[in-house]
Amino acid sequence: MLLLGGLDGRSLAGAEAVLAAAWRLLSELDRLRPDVTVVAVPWASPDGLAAAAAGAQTRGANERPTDEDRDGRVDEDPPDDVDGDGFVVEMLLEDPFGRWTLHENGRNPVLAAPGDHPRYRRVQEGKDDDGDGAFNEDPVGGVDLDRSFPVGWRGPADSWLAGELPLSEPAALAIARLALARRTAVVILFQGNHGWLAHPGGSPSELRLDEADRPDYSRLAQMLAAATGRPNRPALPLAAARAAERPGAALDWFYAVPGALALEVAPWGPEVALGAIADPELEAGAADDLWIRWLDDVRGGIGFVPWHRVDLAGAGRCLVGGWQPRTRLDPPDEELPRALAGLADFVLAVVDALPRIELAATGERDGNVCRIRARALQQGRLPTGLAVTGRSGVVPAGELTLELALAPGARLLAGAERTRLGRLAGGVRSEVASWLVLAPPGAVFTLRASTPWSLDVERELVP
Amino acid sequence: MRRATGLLILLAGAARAAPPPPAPPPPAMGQDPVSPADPGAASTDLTRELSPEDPLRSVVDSLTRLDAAYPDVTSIDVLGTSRDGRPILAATVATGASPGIALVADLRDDPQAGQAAVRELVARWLALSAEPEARSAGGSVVVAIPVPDPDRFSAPGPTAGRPTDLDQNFPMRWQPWSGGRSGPWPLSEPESRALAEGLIAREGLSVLLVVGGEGLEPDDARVDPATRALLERSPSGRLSAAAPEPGSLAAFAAERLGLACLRLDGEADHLAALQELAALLPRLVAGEPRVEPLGSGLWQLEIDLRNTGGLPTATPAALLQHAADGGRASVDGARLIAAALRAEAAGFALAESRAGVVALGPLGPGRRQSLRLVLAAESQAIVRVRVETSRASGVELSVPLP
Repeated sequence: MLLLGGLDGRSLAGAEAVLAAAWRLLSELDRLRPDVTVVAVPWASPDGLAAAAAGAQTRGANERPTDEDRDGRVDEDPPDDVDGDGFVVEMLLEDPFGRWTLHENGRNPVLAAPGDHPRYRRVQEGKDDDGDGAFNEDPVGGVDLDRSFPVGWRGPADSWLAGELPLSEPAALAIARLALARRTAVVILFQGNHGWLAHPGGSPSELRLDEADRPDYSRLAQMLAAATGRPNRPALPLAAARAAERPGAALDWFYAVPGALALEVAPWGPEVALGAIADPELEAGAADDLWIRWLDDVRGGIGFVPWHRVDLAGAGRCLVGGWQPRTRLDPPDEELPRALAGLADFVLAVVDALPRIELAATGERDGNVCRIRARALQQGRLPTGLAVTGRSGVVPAGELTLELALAPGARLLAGAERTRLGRLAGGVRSEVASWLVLAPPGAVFTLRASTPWSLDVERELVP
Repeated sequence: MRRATGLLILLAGAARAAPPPPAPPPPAMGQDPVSPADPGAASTDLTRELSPEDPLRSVVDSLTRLDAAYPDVTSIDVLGTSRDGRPILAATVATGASPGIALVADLRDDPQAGQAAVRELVARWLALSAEPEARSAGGSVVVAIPVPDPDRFSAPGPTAGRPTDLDQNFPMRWQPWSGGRSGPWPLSEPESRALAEGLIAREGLSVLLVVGGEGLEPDDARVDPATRALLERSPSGRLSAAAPEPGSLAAFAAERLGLACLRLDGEADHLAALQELAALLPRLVAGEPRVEPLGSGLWQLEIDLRNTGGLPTATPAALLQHAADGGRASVDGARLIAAALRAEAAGFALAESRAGVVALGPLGPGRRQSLRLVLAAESQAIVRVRVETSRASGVELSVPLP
């Protein structure tokens, strides 16, 4: 199992969640299964998380210098704290042709309707540092590791954050190699602020969840709800959970190539913030309303800079305001325990649910003719592999294989030395495999059951 | 980018190395500086049979001879090394920085045939490019990669023991579920990475020309409009569209770099096809500048720009991917006050200009654009206007004010 914290370069709570899970695993070593390795990478996007930890309004990018505006200079027009209040928030530039206006609640910029005024251009708070007429168009950095993976990757046409080439960043490539270096069954990315569990599907036109794998994600969603006390909802495709397409998402690659049960678990989100007072009738698109309710009812307005007028030298008047950089991305310190509650239990539950094979075999002898029968029982709750495991050709298919090693001098009369018995769901017995063998009395046979997500199980048999 | 010198020194100790030809004598006064002493020598060397023991070495030797014979228009670079450590060489024939064509031997088909076709084509092209009349027709750059997969070239077999098909290992519609043929990620193979990075680094290229083999029939819907328009202007039928299959070099070149992607079929007259293609490269020409006084020390300067090629100065895909821009005009010798652009019969529209630089829009094949500059300058000043694009040749004008 691979645990990644904050691969998006923004989610500090994701890093905390991985650390919490690691501490919990270490404190309960006796509960750990000896056949499972958990690899924890709490600080998966070092540059982006360092910027987030410093309180920056980060896009999650690393520090690779990038000439976003192709003017031959790099990183020369980043956002700025123009009003000197210590925060870089948003800016609404007065513009009669602008597309935005301010909602009557005085908080949300919304798309203007005919007749609305005043109108604005909406940008991040900042000056036109390079004097090219555009604001903040060449910020510091870089590449978002979680947009640089290959599935659905569209290059700079999608965003500069995608990188010049897929997996262009050493840190992203190292994580991809890490996933392929072992039999990786589960990858949990702790990040995001949607508060729930997302399954692969960041770029639905390129990759969708195989329907045969959906029940396993439903099971994981139930396990997450049980461990955390969060509402039990179906897992969402990543694009739906994030309310935007995510081409180049690592989640999709972990599912497609290593064939792992890859999921994104967001420690923070409006419903997590509001706890039990969230309205179950609210649709996913109403997250803004939930955040405002949390801000007003729980936070007493702390975390939002009220819109206020600022004169920009040479660039007219504007409004500066909006959510403070970290308010919605991560919980406030005092709320962190609530955001992390149950996530380590969830990790432990997933470890317990990984496939575990038991092998039953019988042998009968009639003179030198032996009849051997065997079947496997899958004791875990999760399957021996996904429907897509192995499709990449990079890892083996997710099926159970039974092998019979013949005793010296024995001769196989019927049956195959290696029998594939398909993918086994949790709690399911395999079909029976049978062999007819010519062997002298006392011959010892070895049966081996193997799957990509479990340790091989061997059993000796003397018919 | 590394020059191949170190590599060539390394290989020089090999027992079977053919001695390099003597360096050409320095050009005599009045002699074309790029003509070799024996104009046929390079061509003869390049079509020589490869050593069966070390065919890649033969290719290296022949490219070295080429470099020695035409040193001021040729350069040899090592784009990278293969999985087994063999060099991936690019021979560049440059009489200008742009416009350009990348000639790459087909990655899917017979590597021997592909390299032979590319090398011969380079040699013949070089002989032509060295002619003074060819050079006066406008510069161009041809980057030839005769052996993009040196392991497969040196150890013939389907994939040289490598499960990954290089032509499924590029970004852009890369397919993860290929049973291992596309690799664990795009550019997982050093050969595909070297090719991709090599093409990205050469910003003046407009066309990828795949040479050798039969090629796949392209899905018409996937062939980009610029390539289609180019083929319509090339009625000889020597060129065809390269199929931009998912994860292929052609898909990468078309969709990430915005290049037109063509192939030269086996039976075509390759040199004639390359000449035809070179004539269709985007090329910017400027008409006679027109100066009009607007008042004391204030001038209006108008320049007509035309793309004489069969490709736009930047394709839509190149613009989307930020691989090229529409170009820019800069002014020296006067202060730029404002600029406007007019496309064909439309009226002038205000153009974006900053610090004496005007951003131009891309110019389609055969299209015109008029640039109007409002300048502050003294009478009789000399105003220099430089128009630059990354993929079409630039123009520089010197305009004396009345």
